[in-house]
Amino acid sequence: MSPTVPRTPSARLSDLIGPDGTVHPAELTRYDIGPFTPLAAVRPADRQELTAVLRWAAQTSTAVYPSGGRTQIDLGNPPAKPGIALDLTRLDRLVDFQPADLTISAEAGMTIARLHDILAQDGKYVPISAPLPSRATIGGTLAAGASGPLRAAYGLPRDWLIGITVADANGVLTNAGGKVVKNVTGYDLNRIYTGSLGSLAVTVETTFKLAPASQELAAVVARFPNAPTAIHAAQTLQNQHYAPLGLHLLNHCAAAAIPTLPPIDAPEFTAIALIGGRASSVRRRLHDTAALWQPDALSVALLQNDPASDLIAALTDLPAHPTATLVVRVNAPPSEITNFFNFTEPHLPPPALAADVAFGGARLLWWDDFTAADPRIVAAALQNIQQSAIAAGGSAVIERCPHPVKPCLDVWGPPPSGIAVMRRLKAQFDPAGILNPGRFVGGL
Amino acid sequence: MPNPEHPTPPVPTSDTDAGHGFPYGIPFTGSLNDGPGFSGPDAPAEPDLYRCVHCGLCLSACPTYVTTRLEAESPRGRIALMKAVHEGRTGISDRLVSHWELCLQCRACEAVCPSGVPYGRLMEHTRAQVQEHGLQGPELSRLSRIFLRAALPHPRRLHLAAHLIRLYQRSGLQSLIRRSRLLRILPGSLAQMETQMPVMAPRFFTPARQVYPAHGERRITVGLLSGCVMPLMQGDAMRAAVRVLQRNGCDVAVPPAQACCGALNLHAGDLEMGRQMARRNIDAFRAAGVDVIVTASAGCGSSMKEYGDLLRDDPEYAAAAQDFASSTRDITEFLAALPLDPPNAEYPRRVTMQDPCHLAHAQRITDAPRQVLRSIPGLQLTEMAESSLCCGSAGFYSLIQPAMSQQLQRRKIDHALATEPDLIASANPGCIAQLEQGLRSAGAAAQVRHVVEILDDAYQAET
Amino acid sequence: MAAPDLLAQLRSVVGDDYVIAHPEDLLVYEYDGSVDRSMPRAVVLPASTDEASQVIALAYQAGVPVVGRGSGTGLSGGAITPPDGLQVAFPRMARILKIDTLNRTALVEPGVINLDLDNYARKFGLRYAPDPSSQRACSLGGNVAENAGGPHCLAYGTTTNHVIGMEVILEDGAIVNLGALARETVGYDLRGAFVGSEGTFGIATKILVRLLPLPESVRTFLGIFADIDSACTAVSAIIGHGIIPAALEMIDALSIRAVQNVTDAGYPNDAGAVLLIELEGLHEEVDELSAEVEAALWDTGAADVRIAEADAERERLWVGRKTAFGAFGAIAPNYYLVDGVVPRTRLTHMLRKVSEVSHRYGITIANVFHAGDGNLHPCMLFDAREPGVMDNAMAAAAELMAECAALGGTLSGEHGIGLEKKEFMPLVYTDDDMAAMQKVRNAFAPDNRLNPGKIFPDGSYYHPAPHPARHTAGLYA
Repeated sequence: MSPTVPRTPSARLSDLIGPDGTVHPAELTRYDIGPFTPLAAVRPADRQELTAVLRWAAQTSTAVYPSGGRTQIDLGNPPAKPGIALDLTRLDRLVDFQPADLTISAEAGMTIARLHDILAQDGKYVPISAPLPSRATIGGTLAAGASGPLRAAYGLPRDWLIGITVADANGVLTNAGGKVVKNVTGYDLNRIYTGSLGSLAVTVETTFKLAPASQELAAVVARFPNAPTAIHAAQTLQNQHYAPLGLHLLNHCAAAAIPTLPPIDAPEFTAIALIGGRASSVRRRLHDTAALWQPDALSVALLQNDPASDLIAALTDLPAHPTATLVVRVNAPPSEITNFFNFTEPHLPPPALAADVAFGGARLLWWDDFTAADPRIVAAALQNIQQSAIAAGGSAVIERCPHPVKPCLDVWGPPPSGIAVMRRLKAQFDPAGILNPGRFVGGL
Repeated sequence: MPNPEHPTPPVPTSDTDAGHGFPYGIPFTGSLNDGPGFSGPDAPAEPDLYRCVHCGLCLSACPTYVTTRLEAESPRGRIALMKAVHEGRTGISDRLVSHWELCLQCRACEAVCPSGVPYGRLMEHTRAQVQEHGLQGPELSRLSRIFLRAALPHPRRLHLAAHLIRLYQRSGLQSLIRRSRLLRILPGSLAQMETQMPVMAPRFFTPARQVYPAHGERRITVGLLSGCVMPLMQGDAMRAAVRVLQRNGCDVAVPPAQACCGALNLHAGDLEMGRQMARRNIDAFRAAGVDVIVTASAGCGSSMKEYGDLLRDDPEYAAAAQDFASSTRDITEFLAALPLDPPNAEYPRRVTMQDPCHLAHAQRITDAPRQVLRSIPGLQLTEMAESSLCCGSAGFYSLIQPAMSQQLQRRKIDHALATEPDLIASANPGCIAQLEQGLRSAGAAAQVRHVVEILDDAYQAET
Repeated sequence: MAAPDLLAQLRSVVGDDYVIAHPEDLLVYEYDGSVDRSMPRAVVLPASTDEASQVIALAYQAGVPVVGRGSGTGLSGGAITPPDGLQVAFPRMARILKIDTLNRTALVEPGVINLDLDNYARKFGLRYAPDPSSQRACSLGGNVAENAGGPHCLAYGTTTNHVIGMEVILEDGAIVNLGALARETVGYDLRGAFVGSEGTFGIATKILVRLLPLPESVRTFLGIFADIDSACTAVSAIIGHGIIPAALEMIDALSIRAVQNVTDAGYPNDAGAVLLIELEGLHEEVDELSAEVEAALWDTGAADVRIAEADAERERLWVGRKTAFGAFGAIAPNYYLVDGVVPRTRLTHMLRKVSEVSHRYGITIANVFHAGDGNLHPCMLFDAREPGVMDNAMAAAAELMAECAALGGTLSGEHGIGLEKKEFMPLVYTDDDMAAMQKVRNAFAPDNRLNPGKIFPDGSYYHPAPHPARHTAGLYA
């Protein structure tokens, strides 16, 4: 037996898919997940290369950390074992766009912005939305389960995904769903993959059903003197026939972080009604919403077209605010989410809070410097928020936090009721535990 | 996505493949019991049975299913049991009969059945088979003997019985007995019958003459069915019917030779007695030479409209029965189509309409009584919930299935009273008696009136 | 199986009255709305989650498969129970537990009837949007199992878009909550996987659904066309115009005549096809879209367009759609309908194929379907008493399903796969695709004790046990 020279993963991957698809070791830190640096990083150009990499990973029991635009790479617990980064951004082809059928198929690495641009040319829209859409990819957005400020009206990405092609942990390509808008043929795997953080399979191609694009976008932005009047105004609007597509309440810190909004004083609250649709209905909604809010509001501003789109984009980007140090996503029903405006946590400064009061959900953001803080105390404070969210019938996910805090908690919170099924699911799809290991709920 | 490697699944070529590895199938081929099957010309007909594709759309219309939520107490379930007997998979047994007898024969299922299953006919024929084999439940069997065979076909006996009941009720004997402990020592069903006993009208309707002339110019001659119990229980409604018809230009003939319509016998499965009564009525009304036959009882109208079907195989009567059936009208249907002459005085009452099953479902008439009511100035018509769900009267169902009957009665009264009515309008004597009894139990001030009584009152209010 | 012991144990859980085991009583639990049938070993009617959990745990310990049953209106054999199996039905768990007007949700037990929930919600100015044709009778538990659809799912989505959370019982009796009060949750979307799993993952005992506000304005259109091709063109024109109506249904000539035979829905007898279109929204929206829909109908060759706004008029137009399948009873005693879906632009092609298959096989086929979604319901009308006709109908159905698949469509849009379509799964999925699906089942039900023998091909499709009846109602009933 001749002695073999141990080869690095990068070298072996380079053999497999060529140097173009392999990231130079010097650039590996671009693929860091917090303090974790991968052993290697690959950028497969097509499905053949992708499945070759996955087969190699399966054979060598090497963990794989898939990524798209890396806009949400912080989401999740720390990686559980050494492994390679799998960059999917080169799988970005438009596969099939059928405007008349209202369906589009695209590879997972296509950016959200490009997807929307393609659709806009034909007056179509898909409500898949994520912060930093010019970088965020379809696959990453679905994996993270991200959703945008219009989700109250349009629903979540999982409601629009009608077909998916994934590469499984052995590098085998499988399909689920199809290209038709109504489908109960077999199990709905689209929904299992959506929001699974790449822990079950690697998304290769997606098919969405489409909606007609809004002819016009608009927004009503009102300032209220305090939380109760703002909440009351929002809830009253929700009960009107002209209820908007999205309805958001921001405390003054959150409003101050939205660049398109005018400066604001504490303790004022900002209510934002996002409006879209046919021109005639947009006019009516704008007018009636303004009239409804006028009596109790300190000010009411009407935005149309570009300023409204800019506001929607800014609200979408808020969770990924570049300088925020701590970001928490709270899921809770509309009746409970407004209680978070009163929430205080002794070991944390007051947060910026932006609540989606129509859908039920909120983002809490901090810009404070936690480097000097005891990570266990910060973690305990965050766990209190998670407990409050659970008590409200929901959950809270720590989307971004200082690196030392992460090992002190599960960013997803305590395991949910179905955790036993989830563990079996992970074991079925990824028995070797090589797909994004350790990062999902309960360390899956 | 299509997969070329998988060919289209093989298509079977014949029934001989049957049984190969299929995990599901009928686990037995013989009969479940040694009860009798269906037989003879009056057995439920195969085409009727197999018209049911067990889609289940009847379920929510069925009062007994809505109450029990049990498949065996649904129209689909009862038909499945009939099919099983027909197929020889089971004989008629007490279990099957109990499900069939819980049926009110309200035919709400028929009205909603997308496949047009003639459920009423199926149930009548099934009951005929049950009766033929002497497998009726004890209550139904006693009632059939006493009431259906001995009393109903004989107007004079019925009259006498009614006189006795009225005497019992009005002499103070009833209140005496009800106060005494006597009821407690009667067998349960008899005591029940006592409390469910219909209240007899203070004045029976006894036709004073054969023809009541039209007021004003005569438009048409109608024959009025006097019926069996209605003149006794609701004499006022019958008199109102005559007056309302006269007021609208009708000569009203009440042929003396007519009999009970036979509906109760037919529903119980006594098809032969029903046919005898039908022939008698056909003869009586033919002799009276009327243009149209009108009834104020929805249950009777429903049966009379089916005489053609009933006597289909009677060479002597088949054609006449068809004529009779197609000339029959419910009185509300008739008045609405005339159209009637609206009362000219205000009659301010809050009224809710209870749809009798045999009007709404069997005859599919729901608009006509409302048209009549809406023609009355000042009358405010409000709709109750589930207005066409059976009130639990259903002929003498209340005597045979008192528990189910009372549940449905309470449900109906609750819905009716929720509309805060002055009057509850109906168009069938059984329903009226059931609602009156329900209102008494509830201690409610609202009153029950036949639609034509309300119209008649409105005419009386004219100046 | 130790059957007597199991029955005794079940009786001690739910009470003697609620274990149905006498064969004469079980005759009414061997069918659902489909063409398949089989008599279960027993039917159990639990009154609570706790009872249901104990019942399912006992069956699990005894090695007995369990099948859930709602109202038994399903069209794919989902509630058909194997002869040794236990059926668990929910007539005693049929309460609307809570309507939350602020969050616009309803918490219901599985036995609640779809239309009852909708009617109740309407008292609060809300509604439950999924409206399967059987909504008068079908239960929410069954709707969840089958991911039921309906005409208004075009705009509002099928059942899965409306279920927020569930309490479910797994095969071993474990009670698990899927989803939460919040619409977004953490972890895998087990809720999403569960809806439409045809009772193979678990049995829902509480369901939290979304309610939608009632629209300000509703308008219904009847577009009358000389032939089905131009009606298909109209469908494409409307969707292509950027309009997604609340409902967009097509009724073909044969169905029109069948309907008009039974009830006057106001459809012209000589029309080649009609489209039933409903618009909902603000007055301004409905006005604007109405003008465009009307123009699209005329532009594509409509012979006439009728518009109804009053409830009674709209209901009359809908009556024809809702009674169509039953009205076929007058044409032939038996029907079998295929629930295939094609991309909307392939409707014309697919309907030509239906017509061609109809001629070639000599089978009358009527079409009443959700045109806006591309969800066809070609309905074969025949008399099962004629020898060979059932095989003929099935062969025709197989061709139609294959054509749907070849056009990029699928086998079922809303009825489920169940027993009747499972052998056709390879037309749309590879073995690997189906293996991935089986992994999810293995996670929920590792021992495959819930509704076994459904959805996936196992070679048993065409082989029902011989039926003692001389002829039958459904195809294989």
